[in-house]
Amino acid sequence: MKFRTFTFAASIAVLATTAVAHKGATGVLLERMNGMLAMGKATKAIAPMMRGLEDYDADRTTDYAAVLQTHSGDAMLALFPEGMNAAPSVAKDVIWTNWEDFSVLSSQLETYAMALGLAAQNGLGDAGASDGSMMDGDMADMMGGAVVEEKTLQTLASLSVSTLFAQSAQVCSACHTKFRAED
Amino acid sequence: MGVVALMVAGAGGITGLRLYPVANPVEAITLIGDVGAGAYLARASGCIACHTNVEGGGLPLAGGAGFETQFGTVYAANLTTDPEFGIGDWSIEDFAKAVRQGLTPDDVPYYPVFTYAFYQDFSDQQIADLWVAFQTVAPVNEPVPITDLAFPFSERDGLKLWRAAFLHAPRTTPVSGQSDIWNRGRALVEGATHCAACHTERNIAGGRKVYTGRMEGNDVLPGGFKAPAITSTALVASGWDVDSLSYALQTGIMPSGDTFGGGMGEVVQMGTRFMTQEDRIAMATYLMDQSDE
Repeated sequence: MKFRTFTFAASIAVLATTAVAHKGATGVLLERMNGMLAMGKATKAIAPMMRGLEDYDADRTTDYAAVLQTHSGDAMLALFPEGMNAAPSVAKDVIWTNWEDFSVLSSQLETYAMALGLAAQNGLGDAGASDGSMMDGDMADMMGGAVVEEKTLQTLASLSVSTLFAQSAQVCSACHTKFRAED
Repeated sequence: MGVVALMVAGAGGITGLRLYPVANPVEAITLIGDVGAGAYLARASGCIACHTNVEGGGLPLAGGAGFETQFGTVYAANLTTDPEFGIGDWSIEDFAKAVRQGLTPDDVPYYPVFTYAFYQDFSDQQIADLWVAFQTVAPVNEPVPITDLAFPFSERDGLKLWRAAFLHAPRTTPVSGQSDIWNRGRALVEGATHCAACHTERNIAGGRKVYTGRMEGNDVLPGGFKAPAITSTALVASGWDVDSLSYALQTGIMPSGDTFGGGMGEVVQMGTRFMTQEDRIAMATYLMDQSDE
């Protein structure tokens, strides 16, 4: 009973927060902000498991991957029509002048989401390990000079879930760094 | 007459400052550097992040990224091995002076956008490591834009006065009674990773308010960025703990489920995600318990 009461209160709180954060947003603006919020909520919910603080559950990983996939790739791009960037949007206009990079990041997130879904049964792996691509002794990479090779879905799907989760979050952060205005 | 007198006095002052020595002697460094350790330290210290013009599609460490401050725009230097526009004709001692003292080979002060203040305690071995790592960077024969500051900030010798007033020693000395991991975190946070450079408020002259605003955040950063308070108290209030903070330094994920953007996004993307888990935990351990703050 207490749990249900708490859940209801938490839901109200989330809805209230959403209403405040997205105040004034309508149409496609509201849709894309809700999409981002959905990914953030899902990430918050599953992060403790990905950090090894909770028992690993492959089904939760599958569900999480589906959320990311739903809101990435072409689905995300469709929510950024040119010229639709009025307040309260926090998107930077550079999205539309650098659409190629934005598209690449959106596509990368979709690929990582698909790989996470495929890798769900691989197990969590070492939750605290580095992302695997940068700490392998490649000095050219450490000094910033490596050529970044695009990884195939099959290559990614062979990685551990924790690595894929970390790298997918890094894609989110890279996109926010480049294309989202900060408060 | 008064104006002429002022001009003469000003010119005399500038000349005096130009002649005023600020460089400390640099001993010859003959240690053998470790490329891997140097590259790691370069990542942790933000060398690649600041000296690579990512937005402009620049090559790694070729400089050119502009830092728009309230005093004007300062451009990051070309740190490649190009002898004309980079540091290809420097000696390791020149390099040591630049990193630890913030001075050019000719003893001209760098603008404090360069965070040398945090590197003052780098050991000779660390300098040797960095040096050999930088020798692996291919030359880029391209100049960077000329730093664009109005008078009097355009007079670099004036920075000698700034240094006398606002250049503080880094708080990297180990604290007895604290754990090894805490002290390792202190060395990183207060030294190489220079968290306080952004997260400490600055005074009207651009000096850090080390006594009244340390780690209290800064709303006026180059490029329009803002940095929140990261005192231990502020971090706890924002829902952070050692585990979530160290994980954020790897992934960018915040307790809210959102991921870093802005300046902190760059820090993670270009720096801390390359670090070891042990070092990220050390940083988080210290940040969550800055008990001598």
